[in-house]
Amino acid sequence: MSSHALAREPDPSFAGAAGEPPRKPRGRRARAKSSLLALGEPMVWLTGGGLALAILMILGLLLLIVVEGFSTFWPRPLVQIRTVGGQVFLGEVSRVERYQPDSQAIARLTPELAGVARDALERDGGTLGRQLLRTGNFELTQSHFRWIDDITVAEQTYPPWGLVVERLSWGRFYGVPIAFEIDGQRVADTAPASWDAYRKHHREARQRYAQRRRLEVHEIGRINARLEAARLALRQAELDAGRDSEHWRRVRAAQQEVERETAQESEAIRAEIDKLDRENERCQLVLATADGVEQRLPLASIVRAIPANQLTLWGQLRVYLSRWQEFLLDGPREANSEGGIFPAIFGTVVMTLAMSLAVVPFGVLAALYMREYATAGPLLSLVRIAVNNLAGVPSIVFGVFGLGFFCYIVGGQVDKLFFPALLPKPTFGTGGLLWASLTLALLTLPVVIVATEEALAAVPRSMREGSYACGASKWQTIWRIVLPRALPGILTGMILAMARGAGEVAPLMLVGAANLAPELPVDGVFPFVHPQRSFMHMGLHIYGLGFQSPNSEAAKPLVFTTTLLLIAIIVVLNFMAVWLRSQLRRRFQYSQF
Amino acid sequence: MTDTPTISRRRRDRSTSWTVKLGDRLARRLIIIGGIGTIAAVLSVCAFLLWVAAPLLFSPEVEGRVSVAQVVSDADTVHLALDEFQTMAWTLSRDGRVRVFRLDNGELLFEQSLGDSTPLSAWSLTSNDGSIALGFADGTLRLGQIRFATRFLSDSDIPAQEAGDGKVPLTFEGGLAEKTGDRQWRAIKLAIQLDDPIPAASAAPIALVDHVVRSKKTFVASVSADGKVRLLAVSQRKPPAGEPSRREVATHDVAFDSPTAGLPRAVILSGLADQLYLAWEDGQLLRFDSRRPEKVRLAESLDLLEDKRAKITAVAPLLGRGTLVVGDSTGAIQAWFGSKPAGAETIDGIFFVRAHQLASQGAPVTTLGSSARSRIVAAGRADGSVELLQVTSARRLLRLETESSQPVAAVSIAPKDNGLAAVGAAGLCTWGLDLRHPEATLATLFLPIWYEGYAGPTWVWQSSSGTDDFEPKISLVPLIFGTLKATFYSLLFGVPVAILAAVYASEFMSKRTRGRIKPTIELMAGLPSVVLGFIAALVLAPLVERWLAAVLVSFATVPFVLLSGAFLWQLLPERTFLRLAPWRFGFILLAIPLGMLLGIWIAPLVERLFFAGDLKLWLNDHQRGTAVGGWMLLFLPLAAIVTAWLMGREVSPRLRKASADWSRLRCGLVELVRFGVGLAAALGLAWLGAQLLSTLGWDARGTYVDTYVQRNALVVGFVMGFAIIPLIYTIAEDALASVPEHLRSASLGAGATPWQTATRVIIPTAMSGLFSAVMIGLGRAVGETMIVLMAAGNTPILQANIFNGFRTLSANLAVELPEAVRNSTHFRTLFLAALALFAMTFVINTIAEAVRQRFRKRAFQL
Repeated sequence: MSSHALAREPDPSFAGAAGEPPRKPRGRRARAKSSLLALGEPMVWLTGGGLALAILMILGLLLLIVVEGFSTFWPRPLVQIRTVGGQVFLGEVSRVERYQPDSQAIARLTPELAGVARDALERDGGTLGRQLLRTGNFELTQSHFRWIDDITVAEQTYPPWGLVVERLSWGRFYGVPIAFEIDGQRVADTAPASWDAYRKHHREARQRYAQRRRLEVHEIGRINARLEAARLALRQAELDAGRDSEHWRRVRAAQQEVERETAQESEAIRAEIDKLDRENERCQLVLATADGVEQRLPLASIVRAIPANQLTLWGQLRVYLSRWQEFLLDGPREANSEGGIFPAIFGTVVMTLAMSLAVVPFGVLAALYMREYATAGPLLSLVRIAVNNLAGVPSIVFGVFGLGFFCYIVGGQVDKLFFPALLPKPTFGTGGLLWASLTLALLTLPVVIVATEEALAAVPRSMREGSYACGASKWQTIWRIVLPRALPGILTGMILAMARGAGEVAPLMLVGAANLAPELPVDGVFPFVHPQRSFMHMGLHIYGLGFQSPNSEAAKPLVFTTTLLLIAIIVVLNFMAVWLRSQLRRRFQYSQF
Repeated sequence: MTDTPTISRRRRDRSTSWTVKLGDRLARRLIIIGGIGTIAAVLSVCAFLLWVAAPLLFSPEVEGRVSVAQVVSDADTVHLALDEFQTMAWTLSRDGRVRVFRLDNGELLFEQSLGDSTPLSAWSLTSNDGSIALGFADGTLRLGQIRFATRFLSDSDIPAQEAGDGKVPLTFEGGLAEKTGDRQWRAIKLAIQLDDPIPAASAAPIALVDHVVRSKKTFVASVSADGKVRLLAVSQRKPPAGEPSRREVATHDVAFDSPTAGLPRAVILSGLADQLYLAWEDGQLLRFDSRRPEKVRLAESLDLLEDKRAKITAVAPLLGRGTLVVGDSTGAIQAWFGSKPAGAETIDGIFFVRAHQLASQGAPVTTLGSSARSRIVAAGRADGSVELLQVTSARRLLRLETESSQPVAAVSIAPKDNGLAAVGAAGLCTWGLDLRHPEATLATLFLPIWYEGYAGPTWVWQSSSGTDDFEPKISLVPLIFGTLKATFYSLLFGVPVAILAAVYASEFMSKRTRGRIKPTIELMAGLPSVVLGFIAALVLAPLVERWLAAVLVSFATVPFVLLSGAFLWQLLPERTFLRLAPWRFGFILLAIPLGMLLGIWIAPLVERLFFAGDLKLWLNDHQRGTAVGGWMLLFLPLAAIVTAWLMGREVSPRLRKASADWSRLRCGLVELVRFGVGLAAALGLAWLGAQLLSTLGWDARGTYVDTYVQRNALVVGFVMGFAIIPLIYTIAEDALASVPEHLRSASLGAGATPWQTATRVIIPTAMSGLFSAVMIGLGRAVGETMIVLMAAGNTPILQANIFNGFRTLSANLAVELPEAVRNSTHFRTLFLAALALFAMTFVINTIAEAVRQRFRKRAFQL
């Protein structure tokens, strides 16, 4: 027990610096000299080493994320490499490293190359250099990346008309434009001319494509929603009144009417889509890959084409910003490994807001009860310790609770009562936005309770007493005096809870976050808010990209960018909390009188 | 009402208005209800987990009636099976008659004889797919299928006058029909289908037969009355449309010397048809290796019974046919299966072992029936009792009595494990059962269990697999072990760094710098763990794999560079020393990368000296190099601590006494020498210990260090340590800062140096605060999910090896719970895991909280 340690006088065996006078009297000089040992400098350095290590790690981590996150979208030059074996590759260098080749790999090389390799190994202390080239063109090569050993490089050039094409499917395409076709007619057959033609037609094609998407998603989606509603009404009628009943027949007639109407409507929309498609099919950019294969790319499928080796700084910046814009505002493509993360940002924000809507009132109620109404005693302090401890319970446990209780039990009951027509397909009986926010609310409740309690306790007693003395009732005192002064503290708690909630992933994996959710939880279709839908979350997006993506090498830079964004959000929230806390302190000081 | 005039000369109403009163009352009500409700809701998390997990350990229940159909009385019954809905049963009697009964009134629905032309002499029936193999007195064999077939009919197919209300099943075409939906009927009847006879290999009657259906072939083992054993491989090809189906039969004789006279009691083929068992009544068992049917070889011969007077009375294979359940005349029931221990000397490397003793005594066992979906076996005894046994846990689930004390002739477990039927001389008994979770007991959850095919009892977590006859293995021990492993390594790294950092920040740093550092570190505490997990798995793990030796060496070189820096620092003249003091932390910051560089620089040397040139190869190949390096690795920190302790205890006081008159420079030089000596002593000590252990023939490889896997405890420990550093740092720093200033001033005023003040006054005072900081860090490490999920490889293995992966309770929940079927054993076991996690962290945090409360109170009193 440390109480003994406290009671203990400084160790008597230690004579150096404490130097109790009654013992062996010594000259003043002698005592002063011996202090070097007593300084314990090595140990101080060790403790300092701990702090230095912690700080270096934190700064290193942040630096890594910031550098990687910001540099992802900067366009890189396009390299064309001809190997000793005569193969030609065109692509972006995504990584350069040195490695130790095993002896069998060298034995498999041609004799002269093996000689070169051995020399290089000799020179560089047993390692060889190699670069990871993103070669794209997946539909032709069946791979996105290729390792190229430095020793096999015969020639490395930067073709001026090398084009990086980001497209809707199959990942990136690297090639040189050789022609531009409209309706199968070549209107340009040199690289600059094709590029000009591309620039001329691309915007229109993309606009047509955007319109087509709009029709497909919104219009067809609306029709499908109507059909689904009619089908549900029929099923409900069957459940209520039975098949072949009068009511059922009526509903069926209505449903058939809806089917007829929508069939016509969707016919019209289909026709329009087909027209746009035909229009878009007309323009094609013809590219030649590094090994001379010609490939036609329809203009509409090209998101962005960059003549990477010709860009000025301004051009690079424009590409950079345009990629950021796509990243922040667009949906994902290609199993999340390309495109934007707008749904994930949206999902994170909506979920966090919904969570704070749930957590703040209840947290404040509980804190008010504990601080203002409950009688203090051992039971209350027990409850307080328990609530404090819940903040330390692993988040995954709350996820388990959320899945078992909210999704399966509560959601199952809701489905039975309100959505019997949809059964056995669960509506609320599975993970969704509502259950995710409630689970996180439960998880962050202790944070809010503790913060609110502290804020309530910080309101000086004198103010309450003054209020009572003026004749205010207890509730009036709380509402007009205590709560306004505790508000910054409560807000601090809320923001801390939001910061924690925004960063939690583990429970969300169980209660409703999805790697890819086609529909947003809030949209323009009645009833506008869909709390039963699963949603995308930035944290889960990081996990999914890094660990479940088929093309994880290409997704890795995107992970860093997503991480950067997530950390930025959390840091901003945390700084807001710190700022509010300082505001609270100031206010608290003023209110002392 | 009082009539005091006011300044405004208006009368003033001093009573509280009713709105205020009402508001107050309402608010009070709302806050009390809402507050208590919220707190209760939060606290109910634990209760809910318990509520879900508890049924795991509930004992099985008999529900529903015991129905005795007196009409069905047949002691000659050799096989019994129920339909899925337990509405009827079919029996096969010794004379080859198949009969179907209704279970509610015992009515005979259908009857047919299988041995019309020639008498039936042997039979092999399976409970899962309904396939059968029959042997006849003329030596022929027939394959086929007998099973309950279900059809769905509409109203119009049922004769209207018989339909009734549809609640009572209706006798229909030799089966039963039951109304299931609006206008839908479900008709079940027994479907019997027999293939053409397989010509006899000899005229002797078939005495025993067994069969296994594989995807391409059906294997049949037969014993004829003359003692000949044959293995037949029957391949049935799906013919092109219009042609008759072609069947190819390959008959192979099994040659062996019979250990005892007489015919075997049982012949059994294993599930993959790679083994053939022959068991005699006196307990002799011959096990043949039949991986190549044309060349069946004797693999093992053993005695199943310990008691010489006992006789084998029933043998039945369990689900998957890997385990034989053997019942004998003394009432004992044992389960045997093949295990593959290292160094088995049989031709196929398998030893047949008695793994479970299900019952040791009782009335003689007369019949055994195994479940079609789990490892449960039902045993009927001569005294008319029936027992339900779970084989893996050797647990008796239920003991049921039939109406009579006559021997039970046949038992059967219902297809969904929700019923049991037994037939004997006194009739047919059926029970409705709710077995709940028979495979989960405290023993299977926490103790080593001998699973089929394993070399011995062990802890295994393997909850699912692709095959139907798979047995879930639900030991929580590997997961708890993984949790503790992750926690241990992360604390090993995180706690020293965090505590040292807190001590430095609070004792040796200016208040302003401290004020800047603290928010930075607190910010880190809010960093989402998914980010750290991603960094650990995709950035750090490849780096550590590439620079493994350098990383390990850095753990020694970084402290070394720090200490050398300090000793060199001491050599500075006093004036410079004091002048440079404010920039000391800058030099310390510099020392860390220097230490790492040194590590990278000397790592190849270390590898050459101790690890035969390559650490990873050395780890993989246990024959490579000597064991010294591994032990050095483990002993060096220990040796350093021992040396430091000895130095501090033995050398320092003497040095202090002697150095009283020395100059500062001399003192510093002597210190430097002492450091050098200490370093050499630590290295020497570690080397001696390592040499000693490796001469004794022990090798650290295979235990604490072993094959390197990219996602391992080292990486997780490092990153999770990093995750808990901010948490521990903040609390520890608060604790140190809350030691009253007057204690510090008094100590410094009495002439103690800051270091002495820190170690002898501040740290002891703040000890309980530091302890609670560590406990809170521990609590966080135990429950951390994303980091381990991403960086630990998630293999549930029990290995202390630091270079190997593991799976924690929390990661297991994240991986498996989304796929678990609601309310299944797996689901409930996962809830139990969550409960365990909850309990662990709750206890740890409560201890921390209690200690911290006490500390606060005390610090306040000081």
